[in-house]
Amino acid sequence: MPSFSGGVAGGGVGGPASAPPRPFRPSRYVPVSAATTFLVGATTLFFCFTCPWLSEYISGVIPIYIAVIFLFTLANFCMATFMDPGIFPRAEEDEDKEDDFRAPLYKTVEIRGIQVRMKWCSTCRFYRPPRCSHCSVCDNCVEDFDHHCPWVNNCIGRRNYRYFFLFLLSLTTHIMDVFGFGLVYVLHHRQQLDTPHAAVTMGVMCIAGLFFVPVAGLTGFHIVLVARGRTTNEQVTGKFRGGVNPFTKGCFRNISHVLCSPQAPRYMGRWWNRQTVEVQPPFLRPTLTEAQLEAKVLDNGIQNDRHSTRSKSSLDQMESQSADTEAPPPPKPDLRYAGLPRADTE
Amino acid sequence: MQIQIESSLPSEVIYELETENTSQIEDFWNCNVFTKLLIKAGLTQPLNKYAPAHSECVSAGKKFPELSYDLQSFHNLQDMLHTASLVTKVFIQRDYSEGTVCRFQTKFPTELDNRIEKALLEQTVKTLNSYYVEAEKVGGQSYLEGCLACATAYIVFLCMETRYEKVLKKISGYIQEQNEKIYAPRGLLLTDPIERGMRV
Repeated sequence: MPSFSGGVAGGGVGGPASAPPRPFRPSRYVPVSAATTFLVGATTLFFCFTCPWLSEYISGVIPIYIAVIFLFTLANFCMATFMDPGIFPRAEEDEDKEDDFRAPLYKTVEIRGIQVRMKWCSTCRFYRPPRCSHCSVCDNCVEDFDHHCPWVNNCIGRRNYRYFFLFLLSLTTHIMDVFGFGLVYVLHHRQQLDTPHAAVTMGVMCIAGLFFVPVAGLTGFHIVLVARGRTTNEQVTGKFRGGVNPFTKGCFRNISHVLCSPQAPRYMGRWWNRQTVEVQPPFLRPTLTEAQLEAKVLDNGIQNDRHSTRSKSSLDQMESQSADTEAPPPPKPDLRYAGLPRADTE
Repeated sequence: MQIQIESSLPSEVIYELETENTSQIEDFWNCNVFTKLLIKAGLTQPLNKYAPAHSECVSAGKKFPELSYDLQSFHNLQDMLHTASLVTKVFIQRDYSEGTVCRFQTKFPTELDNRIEKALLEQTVKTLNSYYVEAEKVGGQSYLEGCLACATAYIVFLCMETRYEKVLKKISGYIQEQNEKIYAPRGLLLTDPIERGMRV
């Protein structure tokens, strides 16, 4: 008897299709290594050379406060670096039933009254959802793509934007703290600037001062983006320059969406516990209405030709947000073969 | 969301060949048109006057190993038709009218016209949409989860399951239940959207 199973029973190892392994490029790791070295190194030096004096002569709370901010910065940095940004798995073959060359490049969708185009991604083989973009460095389509950050060597997308944003905020705060307290130390040791402690403190202050300007600039830029509900990609490509952004929900809602929304799930590397469901005939059929019964009686049994007459490249057809109807209609055995048992309907 | 439609082939498939020439008829059975007809259900085929012998079916099947039937288990043409099956896939697309929140269209695909009542499918999709709304809700619980994560330097993610994941588990249980109760008896099978990256 034919039976159709939903997959392997028990734990399925099957993960969604992912990109082929990429060649190892050491140059990609230079910025992230530099960033880590500067962050951890400078802070460690600060703790060793400046903090003892600060805790003794100013307040014991200062090193604790700086340590908390530093840990927060580091945690967000790690999350931004290692977390999957929202990579879409490659579409399987059965989803892409049309030939690449015949499928239209764009599919339009209406979002809150505004027409948004979804572009066909030839690598991933699906129409990119709104706000999704393909990262050429990672060779993946990422949901709510913001940008590819070389300093964390990762894409910033839906799942890790919040950590990236908090990383920028906390790093700015940390730089300001280190610079500020270093300045306090130096001002109190004006006569002893040739001691190693003072020299190291001044060195750390220089690094902090050097990085403050670009980091603060980037932080300010992202604060504006969050308030306006835009991604870096949209801002830089000028998508909403003249028009209205359909994705914004108001300043407060945009901010709460970034900071307070639930952690989105990842699509890659999921363990699917597929249960088998036996699908065996006879199959139930819906009861026909009066009109449908009449149509059946009048039908003389000649089936239509199975040639598809849809024009696949017609953009008009793609205008409305209709479901893709690529699959040819399944055969209708009821109309032709009385031999088939008519199952009882519910 | 993907829906697989299982169509069993009818118990009788009849072929009518317009020629009386025996060698042409034999050619017909041995050529690849025969196997394609079987797989494509051959539902428009007319009366069969010359059914092939068992060995002919086997040889035709061997030529096309991608056919999904078991060569050992059939004894005649009818049996072979029983083991072959036709699976088509229908995709229910995302509804982006409200933005990037996860919603699926409740529009009824025409392929399922005579397979399932419209109301049942709509009910399933509406329930799924409500589950997704619950998962993505920005409210007290998600805020507390975020604060807890910050306070523990995100180590809590190693120990605890996030709210979204919990709802996803509920959803997959719901889909499993719907498949068993409603869809499998009608020869349909729903696939959890998360397996396709929630795109479809």
